[in-house]
Amino acid sequence: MANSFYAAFLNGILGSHATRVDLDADTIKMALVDNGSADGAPDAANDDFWDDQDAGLIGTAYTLAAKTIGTAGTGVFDNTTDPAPAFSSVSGATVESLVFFKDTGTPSTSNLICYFDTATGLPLTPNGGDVNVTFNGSGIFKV
Amino acid sequence: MPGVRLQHPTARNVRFTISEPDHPYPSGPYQCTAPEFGGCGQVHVFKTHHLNVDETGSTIVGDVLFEMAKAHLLAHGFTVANTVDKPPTIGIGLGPRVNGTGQWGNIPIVRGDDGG
Repeated sequence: MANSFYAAFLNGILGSHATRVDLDADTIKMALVDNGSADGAPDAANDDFWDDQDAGLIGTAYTLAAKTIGTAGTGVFDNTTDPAPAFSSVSGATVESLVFFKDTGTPSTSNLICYFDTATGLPLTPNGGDVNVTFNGSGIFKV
Repeated sequence: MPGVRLQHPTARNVRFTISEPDHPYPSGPYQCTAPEFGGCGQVHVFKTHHLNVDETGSTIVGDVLFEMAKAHLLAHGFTVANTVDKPPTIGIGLGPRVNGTGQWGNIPIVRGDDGG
């Protein structure tokens, strides 16, 4: 297990996927995911859209509202605020992954971007309270 | 009823591991994160929940999880103490890259001190 981009996202940057992600203009969300759902654990090689993962959604996905590109560093995607709470009153199965995706409003066209399965606090057993997320000070990811 | 406070008669300051034997992880066993991240470092074949029991023998779980794992929780000796309207906030931290840990997989995060 390791944090990973989805292959479809990386290939999409080069134009080899049907749809691409505009991290600046598109709605980017992060979601708490139960690896025990019917969709299973994130599959970096084969999953490409949110409908490959949405069965595991716990709570409500959070929209990143303070995105930056290239500010924290060249090629670095970041969000300038740490969402607190990112997820309100979370109740559900234990969460093993934090998934980032582009939300078009339709799961089958919402590109998966990357996931984190190794981070402080994962796996997370929901207690019904809020869940805060603290991003790395150097950015969320770099391409 | 967002949270349910459970009480254990004897356990103190321990992490309980509750597995659902009728619920295997569909895409294969789950490698739990290392203790420094909050996991146990073990491989789980079945859906697993870790409960951190405090010094009074108490732990709080969400109401949905409680209903899902109720039989297992009660079988392990937990009893329902009360409900909690506003459970404590918990967090996830995407920390800095640490070389050699594998934490960041193929997601490179640059830092000034490791060139990384």
